[in-house]
Formats: sequence, C-alpha cells, structure tokens
Amino acid sequence: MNNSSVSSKPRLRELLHFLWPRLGKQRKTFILAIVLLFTDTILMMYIPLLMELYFNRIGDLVYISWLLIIGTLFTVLMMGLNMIGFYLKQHTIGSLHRDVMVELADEAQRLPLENTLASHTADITQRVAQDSGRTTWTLVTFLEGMGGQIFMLILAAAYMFRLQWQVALAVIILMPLGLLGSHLLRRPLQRIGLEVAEQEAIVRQSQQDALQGMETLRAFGAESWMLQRFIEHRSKLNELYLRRMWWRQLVNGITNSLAQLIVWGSILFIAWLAIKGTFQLGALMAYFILVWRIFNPLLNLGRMWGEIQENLGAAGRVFTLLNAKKEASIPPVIHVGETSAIRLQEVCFRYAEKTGLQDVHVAIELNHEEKQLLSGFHLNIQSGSFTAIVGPSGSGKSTVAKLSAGLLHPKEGAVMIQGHNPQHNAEYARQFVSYVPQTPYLFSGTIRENLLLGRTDAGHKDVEQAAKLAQAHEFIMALPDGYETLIKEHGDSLSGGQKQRLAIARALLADRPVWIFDEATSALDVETERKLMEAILDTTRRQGRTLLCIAHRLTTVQEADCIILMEDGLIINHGTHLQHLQNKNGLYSKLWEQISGERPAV
Amino acid sequence: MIQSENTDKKEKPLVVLTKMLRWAKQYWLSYLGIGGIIVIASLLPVGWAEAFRQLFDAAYTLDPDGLLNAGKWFIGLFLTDILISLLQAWLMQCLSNRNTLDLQREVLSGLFAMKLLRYMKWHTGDKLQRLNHSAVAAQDGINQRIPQLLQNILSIIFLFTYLTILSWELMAGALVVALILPLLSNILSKPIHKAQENANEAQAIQDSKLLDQLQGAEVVRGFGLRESFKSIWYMNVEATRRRYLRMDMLKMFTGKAIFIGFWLGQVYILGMGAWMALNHNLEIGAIAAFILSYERLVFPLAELINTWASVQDSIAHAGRVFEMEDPTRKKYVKEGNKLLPERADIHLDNVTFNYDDNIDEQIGSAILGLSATFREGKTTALVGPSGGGKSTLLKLVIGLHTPSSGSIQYGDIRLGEAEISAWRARVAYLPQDAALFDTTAMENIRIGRLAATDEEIIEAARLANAHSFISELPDGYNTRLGERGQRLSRGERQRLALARAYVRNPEILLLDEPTSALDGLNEKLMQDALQSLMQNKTVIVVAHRLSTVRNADCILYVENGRILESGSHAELMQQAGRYADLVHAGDWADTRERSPQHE
Repeated sequence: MNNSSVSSKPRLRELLHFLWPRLGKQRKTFILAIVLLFTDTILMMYIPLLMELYFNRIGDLVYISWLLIIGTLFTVLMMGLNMIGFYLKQHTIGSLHRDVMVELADEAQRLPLENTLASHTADITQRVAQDSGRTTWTLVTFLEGMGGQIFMLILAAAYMFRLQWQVALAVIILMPLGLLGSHLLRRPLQRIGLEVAEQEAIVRQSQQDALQGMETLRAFGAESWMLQRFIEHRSKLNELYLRRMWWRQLVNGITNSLAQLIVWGSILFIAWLAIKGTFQLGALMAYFILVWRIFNPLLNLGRMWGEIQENLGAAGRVFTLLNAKKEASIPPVIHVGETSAIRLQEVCFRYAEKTGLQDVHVAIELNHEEKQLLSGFHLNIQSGSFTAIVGPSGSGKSTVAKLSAGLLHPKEGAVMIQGHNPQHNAEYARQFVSYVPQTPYLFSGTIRENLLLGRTDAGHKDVEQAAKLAQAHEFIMALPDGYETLIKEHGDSLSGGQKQRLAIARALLADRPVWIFDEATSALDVETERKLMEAILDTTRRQGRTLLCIAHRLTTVQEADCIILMEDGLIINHGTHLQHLQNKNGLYSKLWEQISGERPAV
Repeated sequence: MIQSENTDKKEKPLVVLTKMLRWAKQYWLSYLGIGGIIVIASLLPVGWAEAFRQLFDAAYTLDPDGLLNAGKWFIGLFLTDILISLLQAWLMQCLSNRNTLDLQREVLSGLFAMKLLRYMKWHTGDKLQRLNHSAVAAQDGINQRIPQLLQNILSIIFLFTYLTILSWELMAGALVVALILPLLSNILSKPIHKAQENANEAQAIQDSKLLDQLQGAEVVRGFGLRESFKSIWYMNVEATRRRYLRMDMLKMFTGKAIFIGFWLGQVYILGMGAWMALNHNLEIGAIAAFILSYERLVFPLAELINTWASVQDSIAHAGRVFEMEDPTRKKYVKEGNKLLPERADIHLDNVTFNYDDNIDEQIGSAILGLSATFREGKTTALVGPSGGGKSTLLKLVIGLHTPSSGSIQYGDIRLGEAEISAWRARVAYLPQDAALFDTTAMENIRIGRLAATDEEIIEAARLANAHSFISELPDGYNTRLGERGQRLSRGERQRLALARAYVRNPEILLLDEPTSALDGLNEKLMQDALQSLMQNKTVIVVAHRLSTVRNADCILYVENGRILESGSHAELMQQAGRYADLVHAGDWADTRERSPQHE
C-alpha cells in the first residue's frame, strides 16, 4: 500500500483515501452498516408523518388503531435493522482500527534502530494506540455521523417542501451555515488537536519514566522531583484542554446562533401563516416536530465537523510514523563462495542528533565539522574465526559490533554480512548474526518463551542444551517453576548475570553462522564466565561458527585468533595476544597490566 | 504470557461508586456550582416545551399577540441556552483539569509509596493504562457523566411533572407502559459490568505487549521477530476488539429497550388521546400540546441512554484505578520517627527475604537467615556467584524491600523505626544498571542531591570521570539523554550514575559492580577516584574484580542467600576455601599467588 502520498498535515480527503482501502473486503459490509444505521433517521422522520396522519383523522378510531399498529411494527422493524447495522459498523470499524494499529506497530519496527532509540516509546505507543483511534473514527464521524445528520436534514427539508415550499427552500439554502463556524475555525481546531495529542504523549512519557525508574527514584529520595515534573507536564496539558474548550465553545456558539436563527425564523413565519389561516392543524403539528429535526442535526453537524478537524491534527502524528524512512527490503541475491563473515568497508558513522519521531519537523543543521565516531573504518572477519575487539570505553567497539550485526547502518561505506548488505535488506542480512548486547533485554513471559525467541520451533532438548552451554540451566532448574518461571517486566526479578546468561542461551539457540558478543559476560563472576567461554569456543570451533567478541576483560579473549585494539574510533593494532604483548609500551600492554597487576613477562 | 495479576479482589460497582463520590467530596463547592447550572439547564427543555405550546396555541387560536409572547420566550430561552452552555463548559473544564491532575498525582504518589514487591506485580503498560486511560475516564465520569446523567434525569422528571399537570391520565398510563421494558433490561447490567472488566483487562495486556515490543526494539531486529510479534499482537488486539464489541452490543440492547419503552408510551398516549377526544374528555389542542411536549422527551432520553452507558464505563475504570491505588483510603504512616544515630554500624540480624511470597522459603529465598555487620567507616566487599543474593542484600539495606523476617539496624535503631527518607538521605545506592531519565545530563546527576548547584554537579562529574564525555555531547550538560539514557554507552551511563554518588556525598555507599562496564584504564581512574570517595565512609561493594575487592577491610562470600565465608583477603586466602578458589580462577591473576615458586 502506498503511504508516501499522505502528508503529515493531512486533509480529510487524504485521510479517507488512506482508510478506505484498508477496509478491504469489509467495504461493502461497512456501507451496508451505514445504510442500516440510517434507520435511526427514518425513525425520527416518520414520526412527523404519523402525527400529520393522526391529527387529520383523529375522529376515526379504527383508522387510528391501524395506524398505531402499523406504526409500531414499522418501529420495531427499523430498530431491528438498526441493531444489525450497529453490530456491523462496530465490527468493521473495530477491525479497521485493529488493522491500522497492527500496521503502525509493524512500521515502528521497521524504523532504523537509530531512529527508534531516539524516540520515546511512550510517544510511539500514543501514535500506535490513541492517535490511530482518532484517525479511524473520523471515518465513522464523517460517514455515519455527518451522513446521518445530512440525511435527516434532507428528509426534513423534503417533507417541509410538501408543507410550505418557500420556507423549505430558504431552510435548505441556509443549512450549510451550520458548518460555517467549524469550517472557519478549522485551522485553530487542527492545531489544538495536534498540540493536545503531543502534550498527552509527553505526559505519558514522564509517567513511563517515573514508573520504570522507581527503584532509583526511591533510593535517592527523588520522588518529589519526579512528581513535580509530572505536575508540570500535566498542567501544561490542562492549559491546552482549556484552550481547546474555548475553541469548541466558540464553534458551538456560532453554530448554535445560526441554527436557532434559521429555525426560529422559519417557525415564527409558519405560525404567522397559520394565523393568516393558510395552514392545517396536522401540517402545523408536523412542522413543529420537524423543526427539531432540523435544529439538532445542524448543531450536530457543526460539532462533528469541528471534531473531525481536531482529529485531523492528531492524524498527522500517525502519518509522520507512516512516512518516516524505513529499512529497505530489496529481494536478496544469493551468492556462494563468500569467505568473509563480516566486512566493513570505508565505514563512517556518527550518532546523529534529533532523529526521533518527535523531531521530524525540527530543522537540523548538518554540521559536517562534527567528529565522526568511525571514519574510513575497515574490518574483515573471516568465517570460522574468533576475533576480539578491545579498547578503552568510548572507543567505538560497541558501535562496530552493532554495525556488524546490521542493527545500525553506516552513514558512508558499506557493511557486508556473509556478502549481504543490511542497507539493501536489513532483515535478510541480520538472520546470519546472533547478537548479544551488554544490557540484555528480556520480555515478560516465561523463561522458555524468552529462549524460544531465538528459534521458535526448538524442542525442549535443544532449549536445555543451549541453556547448559550458557551456564544457565542450573539456576533455571533451581527456580520454583523452572523453565516455566514467569519473568517480570524486563526480567527485573533476575540478577544481572542471570539475565546475561539467558540472553546468551537465546542467542545460542538461534544457532546462526556469526555470533557477536558485546560485553555479554560482564556481569558474570570469573568462574562462570570462564566455563561459559570455554563451552562457547568449543561449540564455535566444532561447528565452524564465527565469533566476534567485544570485551573489557582481556582474559576473556586471550585465545582469539585476532585481537583488534581500538581507540577513538581507529584500529591501533591487531594480532594475537602474544603479538600485542610484544609492544611493551603499547596500549594493549597497559590494559593488560591493569588487570594482571604486573608487567607481563615475555 | 502476560497476566494482569490482581492482588486485591474486585469490588462491587456500588462500592466503587461510593469511593468515587468520596473522592469527589473535596470539590463540593465546584460541584455545587455545577449543580446549580444543571438545575437551570434541565429546566430548559421545559421552557422549550412551554414555548412551543404557547406558539401552537397562538397559531391554533389565531392570536397574533400570543405569537409575540411566544417570540419573546424563544429569545429569552436562546440567550439563556448560550450563556448556560458557556458557563457549564468552562466550569466543567476547570474542574476536570484540576481534579484529574489531582487524581493522577495521588495515584502516582501512591505508586511511589507502595511496597515495591506489590508495585512489581503489574506491567508498566498495565500501570500506564490505569493511570492514564482509566483514571481519566473515572474522573470524567464524576465530572461530566454523572452530572449529565443527573441533568438528563432531572429534565425528564421536570418534563414528566409538566406533562402530568397537562393531563395526568395520559401521563400515568404512558409512564407505566414506558417503564416496563427498561426495567426488564436491567437484567443485563451484571453481564455489562463483566464485559467491561474483560475488555479493560484485555486492553491492559494489549498495551503491555506493545510497550514490551517497542522497548525491546533491538532484540526484535536482532532475532528477526518482527513478523511473529506482528501476528501475536494481532491476536491481542483482536481479543480486545471482540470484548469491546460484546460490551457495546450489550449496552445497545439496554438502550434500545429504553427507546422502545418511550415508543410504547407514545402509542399509549396517541391511542388514549384519540379515545378521550372522541368522548370529549379532552380537547384536540390539548392532546396536540401534550404530544409536542412528550416529544421533547426524546432527546434527553437518547442522551440518557448514552450517558448511563458512559457512567457504567467510568465506574469500571474507577474500579481498575482503585484496585491499584485507592486515593480515598487513609494511609497511616507505618514508619516511626526515631532519630538515626550519627555514625554507626549496619547490622543485619537473621534476615530472610524472597521475591515471591508463595514459595518454599528453604528453596527459593533470595536471602536466608543472613546475619552480618558492616562496620562504620569500613569497606566490605561482597563476592560470590551471580544470582547469589548480593544485589538483593544491597536493596534490603537501602530499604527498597523489607525482609520477611529478621531485622536491619543502624546502630540501635531498626530501619522501620526511623523515617525511611531520613535513612536514604544518608545512603547512595548505585545499582548495576542505574536508571537514567529522559531529561538533561545535569538534571540526571542532580537526582543525587536535589539541592546541588550546577557547579557542584560539574565537579562531581569530573570526579566520576564523566565530565569529558558529557562536555562532548551536542548540548553539553543540557543535552537530553533520551528514554532510559539508552544513547549513552554502558560505561558512560555508569560514570554518570557514579557522579550522582559524588554529588550526594553520603556517609554510606552501596555500590553494585561500580566498574563492571569500564575498561582497565578507566577502571584504574575510577578506582583512584573511588578511593577518595570511600574514605571514612561505610561502604558495601559488590564486585567481581580482585582489584576492587582485595583492599576491602572485610570480604563476605555470598552464595544462595547465605554468607559462607568472611574475613580479610589475607585471612580468606589462608582459609583456602571458596574465596581462594575464586581468586585462583583467572583474571585476578596475581602471579605471586598462583605459582608457588614465587614464594
């Protein structure tokens, strides 16, 4: 589906153009629902007719009885149809909203990781869940809501024509005035709709921050600080609500005045005509009842049109997400004979500022003077090798790891994973890599469910095997529910080391050609780490896997085929452990000295 | 599978409504004002009915003066209508702004004060749903829906009275006929309530899954989980949709029942009216006037149906909020107010703690019958296999959790006997993964001591070796760090968190692997700086590095929630027990100790 045609300040036309195809097969059902819901209007409209007939023949009891019986049957029939229409409408719109939500969540997962990290999940959640709702319901407000009211106005006007065509004509011509208020004010309404949605997202963000940082806030006694932040954000939202209320009242006031003018003008005129003797009682009754069928629809139309304008403002947030640049997925070309597991060529990279969704409309000055984290970076890792990257914190090691895993994309140059470029097809290239980060992320669910994310069809034996390799099996079995133990949000009930081991087990289970460990064992005690690395090295050697390890603890990677030393985004040196140590005054030796406590003997 | 676990049993709607009203009590003045406006507003339909009756009479009796009168009525009503709706909207919005903020603030405060174990039972997505969606809907219910309900009911009552005055025979019968079906449909109120609860629960799960997925964006990409999450979340959303649909349908049935009741009443009036007209009991004009006025009932009635449904919604939402945190319940402060001694030892006496109340203590406790003394001004290191309870121990000392049995004392005072905030003010706790917030670097460090000046913060950052990288950020100290500070590397986050400890400069330091993410050189710098910070303070540090541990005054070996060995480095090496094994294992390669020939 082509999304790029919709701007981030959408007009109603564009919104409908976006929503309509997504109804898919349910389009006909939706139209049917709308038509059936018009029975509401029919019900409201046939009552004046009933009154007219009733009062014209009020002496005839038999006629009256039949009238009432038929009338009741008709009413019940209309209500039945209405109920069916309601069900169909709720069903189709609910399905539409569901599909839009799922699509938006999916789009959010197609964003380049850098943009996701720069956005706040509360803001994305708001767009996916709340703003999408406002967008979808616009369809209903427009077609059913306004459609129904217009239908009623047309029927009322048509009826009126029968009674007094001059007045009816005047009413019809003046009817659009009902929309005047909300139409004149549509820009302020859209603006306030957008501002409210954005501030609601900000309030949500500060709440989420508060809720997720609870331990730290309590430990530092900073609860009042956080509470104050929330109050500030919420107060700003309150101001916006108040402002929105004033706009709505203004719209309402204008619409109300105009509607009443039209209605009372016509009524007084009709009454005057009646006094002049040119109106029947029945017709008079009908007219008096009809008048309300004109007044309320006018008011409602004005109100609904205003609502739609507000929702258009919020809809812009949805379209920002849809229009944001996503990762490419060009069909991959299979080639054979690729000996390099990971290759970085002339890679330049820098974390850009303001790349989040909220920053889309912020003009960014491209500062080419800004120091690149990586510049002209080269790396070639052979299949089946064990490579390590070491160096001081901030030297760019993690960035290289993420680039190698296809999670980040270089600004210049190219990354090849088994000969495939993630910038052409990110998901295809990534499937060759099992990446374990410094801070592992676990989902709420059972331990088993988390492990199976690596490979959904793995059997219990495979799961256990992976857990044993990762030195996790023991502690899992020591838990009361074993593999079925529920992990709390983010795995908070587990220790850092336990989380890391689970993350490693997950990666092992995925069993991909390339394994990238980024400080993946930092929280483990020495003994456990040693056993783990032994098991991993054993597996990689036996199965010909490529292992890339980023480490601080030099002892972790002593046995690497090649240790790459980085500092400030550059490769200073590379070689085996012993080769490095030959450079006695080099950075590597210095780092080694720190942990061994004495200058290494050669 | 995420379950939204309810720790308290669900309360009946009436109880919830009572609590809602109790919460609303403090705003009685505003509600009084709104009440006054409501009374006037509910008289408006009567005004309209009367205006119409006059107009009709004038037209029927061909009376031009009557027309003029009716015209005046109309204008008066029109002006009143505009004025009332403006006043009402303004008052409502002001009130809504105020008390929704109050409610959310109270609930948030409650969350801050809640026992941590209970707090952890809900997923953040669930908590957010209750705090935002439900709290707002509940407050809206009290502010808008209930007054609207009252207004509609009052309008209807006033209209009924007016109609009875016009013709009690017609009204009485119509009333009876009209009320049969609505009363019958009350059977549906329980299923509606249940359907609402189900819908809300499904919504909470849906929200939580989404949040999880978004925060785990890296894992989703790394493991190619996008498609599978899409289909799983699709099912969550679908389940929520179905439940809302069921709820909507049930509500609609009730609504239709009311409308049919109205219609039957109208049929009665028409039938009865015709019969009475024939027997000359009633004038046709009067019947006409009556019908016109009865007709006016339609709109408040239609609104009533919607409003009643909204009120039920609000009550359900309020129930969800109160389940988590009840702002109307008086909280008695359980902590004492004894003064803490100036400087003292920290003493743990037979402390037991577990994260899960339902498990067998002997097997699953995080900490089991642990006793230890942390001497004042001395450094104690905790070592042992991961998952052994070291981090949990720190959390108990800072009072994030309370032991299920045993006590923690500072000098003579048990931790429960003093104000917990006073205790925490003396401690700096740095967890393994310190939480950073989406605010500036300066503010993030200021959390360490809210009253700190900018200069003090920068100095602390310097000491923590964080100044250099912060200065290199695009806006320096004013750079926003993003959600959970995730754009900084782990080492940078660690250093920034350490700056908090420096700026706080407390007597007691609880450090959980303070240098685990740092390379050798940085760690050396950190060690040196830490040394100066740790001077004369009581320090408990969890570490996996010999360099950190070796110089501690006392080392505790913790495994499976118990202390197995304790003593200084030299003592424990001589003991040649578990600690000694750990030292010999590697990375802590002190060659002097490894190879005997160096003796």
